[in-house]
Amino acid sequence: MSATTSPPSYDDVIASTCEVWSMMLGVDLDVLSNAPLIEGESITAVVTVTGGWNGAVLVKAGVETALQTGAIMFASDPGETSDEDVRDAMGEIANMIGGSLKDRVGPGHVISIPAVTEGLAYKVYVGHAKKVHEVGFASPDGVVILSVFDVGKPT
Amino acid sequence: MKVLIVDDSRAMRMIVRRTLRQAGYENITVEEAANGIEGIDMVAKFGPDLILSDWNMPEMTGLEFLKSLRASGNSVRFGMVTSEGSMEMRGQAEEAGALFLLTKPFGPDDFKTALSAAGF
Repeated sequence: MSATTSPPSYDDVIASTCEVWSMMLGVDLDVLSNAPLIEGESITAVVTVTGGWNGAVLVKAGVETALQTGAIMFASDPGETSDEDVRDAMGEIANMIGGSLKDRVGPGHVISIPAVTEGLAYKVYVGHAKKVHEVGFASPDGVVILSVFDVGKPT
Repeated sequence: MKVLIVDDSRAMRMIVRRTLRQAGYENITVEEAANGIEGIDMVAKFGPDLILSDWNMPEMTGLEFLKSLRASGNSVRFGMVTSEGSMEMRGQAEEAGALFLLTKPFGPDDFKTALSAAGF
């Protein structure tokens, strides 16, 4: 079991997120100085990481941005991309970013299967976790927000 | 060449298909399964030359799928395509009989290198 208990760094978050968008979607992201509020309906995909470090990685985007992202992943027209496909794509993105961050943190960590939520007004609670990073990224299709929560040691 | 892609994400199955083509594997027949249990059924029906499987899946993980195949005497060539890229998991996959472990995100060159080394 790993002795690492620290969450991934800000630089790790940027590197993992940009790498996934670039390699899997062919899209270069710009890092924003502040994570903006996403207004209107949005979709959030979550994976949890357990091991020496315990936390969660959340990827949030507006529905239109998520739809465009899903369409790129499926190589389909946005009009032909189903809600299920969009949820699947966002979940897989969270899975890849979470997996990458997990490996950057150190050995001895396990990642969950992604969970996805969507709607107009919702909150995502991660145990008694503390948000340690919230980074906004600009893509040609809109804003994406990557958040990392630190759960600390499970009681 | 017959390839079975096993992943619970339809998006990822599509990306693996696309990346195989981009890596130069044009003349292949591909079937898909969404987890290890479906994968076992497809192996019996399809008889793949190569299996590319995710690790984290509901019902049956990729590692359990691989172990189940080997326990039944099936020696089909098997590669993991997963976000689980740690050394310990590479070791587990190799010990169970996987020829390679490709980490997501990946590109065509990663596929070309891994599949060439596996004899394709």
